[in-house]
Amino acid sequence: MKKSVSLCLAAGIILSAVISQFLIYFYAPMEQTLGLAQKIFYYHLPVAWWAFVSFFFSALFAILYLVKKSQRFNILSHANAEVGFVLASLTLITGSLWGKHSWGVWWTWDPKLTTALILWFIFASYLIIRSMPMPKEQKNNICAVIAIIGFMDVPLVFFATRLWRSIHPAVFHSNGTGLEPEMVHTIIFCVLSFVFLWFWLVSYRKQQLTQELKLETIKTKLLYEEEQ
Amino acid sequence: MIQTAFLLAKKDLTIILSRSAGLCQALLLGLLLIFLFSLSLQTGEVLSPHSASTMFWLASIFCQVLIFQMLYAIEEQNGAKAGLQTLPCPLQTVWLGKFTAGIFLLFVSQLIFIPAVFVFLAQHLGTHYFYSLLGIFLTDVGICACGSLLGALCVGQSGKESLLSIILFPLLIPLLLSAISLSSVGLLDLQNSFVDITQIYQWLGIALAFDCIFSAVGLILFPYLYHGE
Amino acid sequence: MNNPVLTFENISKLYDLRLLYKNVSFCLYPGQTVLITGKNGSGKSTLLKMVTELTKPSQGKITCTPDKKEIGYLGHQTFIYPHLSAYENLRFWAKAFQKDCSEQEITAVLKKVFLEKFSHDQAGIFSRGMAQRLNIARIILQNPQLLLLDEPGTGLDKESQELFYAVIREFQAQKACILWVSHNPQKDLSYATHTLHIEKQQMALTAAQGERE
Repeated sequence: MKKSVSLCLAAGIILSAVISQFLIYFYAPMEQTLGLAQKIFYYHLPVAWWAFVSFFFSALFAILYLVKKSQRFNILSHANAEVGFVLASLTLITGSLWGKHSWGVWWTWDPKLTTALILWFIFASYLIIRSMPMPKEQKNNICAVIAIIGFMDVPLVFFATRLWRSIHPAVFHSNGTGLEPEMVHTIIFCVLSFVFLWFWLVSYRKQQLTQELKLETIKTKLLYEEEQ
Repeated sequence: MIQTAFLLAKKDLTIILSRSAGLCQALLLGLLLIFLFSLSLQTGEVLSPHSASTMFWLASIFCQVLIFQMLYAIEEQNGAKAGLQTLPCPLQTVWLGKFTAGIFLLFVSQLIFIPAVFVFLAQHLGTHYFYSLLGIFLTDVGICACGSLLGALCVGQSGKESLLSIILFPLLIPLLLSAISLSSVGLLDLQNSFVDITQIYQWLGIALAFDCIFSAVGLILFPYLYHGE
Repeated sequence: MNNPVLTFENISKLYDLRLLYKNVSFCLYPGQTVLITGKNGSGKSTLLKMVTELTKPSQGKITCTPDKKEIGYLGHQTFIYPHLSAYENLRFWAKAFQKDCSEQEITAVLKKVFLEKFSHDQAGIFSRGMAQRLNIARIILQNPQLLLLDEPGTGLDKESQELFYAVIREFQAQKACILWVSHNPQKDLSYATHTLHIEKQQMALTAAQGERE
């Protein structure tokens, strides 16, 4: 990543973070029943969104890797999976806190919640495999396959849990409706402003992984030259 | 390709059914699960069909994990995997062969689990059992399509044994939800005898969609997992 | 006769971050027995893997004239299913390689490798030597035009070794092409018509000095 791009991103992150904080605490009105705890919503939705976007890109780059066999795509898929996993973890934590406060339970069979949790599980095993010692190409292939099937599972999980919920009556009723316009503006801004942080995280991780690969290549080369 | 796949399946079934006690272990584990769960019932308490079918599928998927580990472990012992990789047919043949053997073994084990559910969990046959049988069939296809794909990556190296379950269980959740709903309609519910037929068709649809997606994905992606390196 | 069995055109191969070969080309013809030499980790086994399409070259093109069922692989791993009998093992692999073998043929081959007395015993009880002889029997039944040997001699007893060399002679007489990675090159060199030396990411194909015939 070029230094200028990096600086622009950093400026974007800081600026958008400051503006979002202002919007969250001063522009958006206080929720009548939930009070201050409702503010967690403005963090929860962006991380959830961008976690999903990361997983989508991870699967997409995994397909490209299997087709083109280029390390670039492998690294991009890996970077997106990692960032997605962190964001998904945050989603689950903030979502759980929010759920406890507004619905009185930590967990419920909601389609979105379940989909997020299942993606989290699948990418957790993805990261476990990434850390296992095995031949590089085999590992890359396995991880690519997991990223793809994990993402393919998403629509199925979503529909299945929606149907499931109609058997088990839900603990809450459509809470999301009736947001005030100021709240809507704030949430849209928060989601969009996350693009800077997300892009910076992914490209930073990509850069690290690329350098790691370069180092390893040099290391193996030296190792074998020494031996020969 | 199909001929060779059946040859592979036949070889695996010969080894597992007649020459080793592998399947018995899986069966015993499943039966034990069902039996242990019956301990949670108090005297006179009747388990809802829903819980009973959940137990049935829990036993089935644990059994299935063991089955596919067994099926792929066969190829590791004397490096026969390399032999299969050089066969004069596409690598997908191995996927198909293991799928066929796996689904047969899973059917056999379920023939034992089904009576166990009636006996240990005190269930009665309901009127819509046809849908349950159809549901069991569709679910088994999906489970084995996934198992055959992922079984390939979970044998050989140590520390990989539990990997299959970790990846498989979350993936299978949509299918299991459908399976549990479908097989519970085949059991007599004393509290609530209402059955929503349109919902049954929706569940069958989800199971069918899962089967189609994961059979296709299995066929396309398997060579990447079962490659030489 | 003059059609090459195997052609490597400008092959480069990157294996686990390491460049094994760079722009390698050569042709092999029927009847050649090629001993592959080179240091550990120079990519001898990877070469065989590329022929069987177990791994793809990073660049370049490999043309293999015989059908896949005509490529035989004999390594130090025996491919034997311990729960099947010797006979069943052979029948399975023959069928899998689309060779129609009658019961008599299989029994005859078992006799040739001195295993006819054990043909219906489970292969799991076999000693290393017996198992490797069964492995050789598998390759005799397959009767390939291109034979890949990956250190098959490792751990063979004397009797099996003699059998192994006799079988190699037979394949040579049938004008099969043999690619041979050996753990004992000095000894096996007398059987080779050519050597393929891998060094510094290059390969050199030369006629063996003590070439017979």
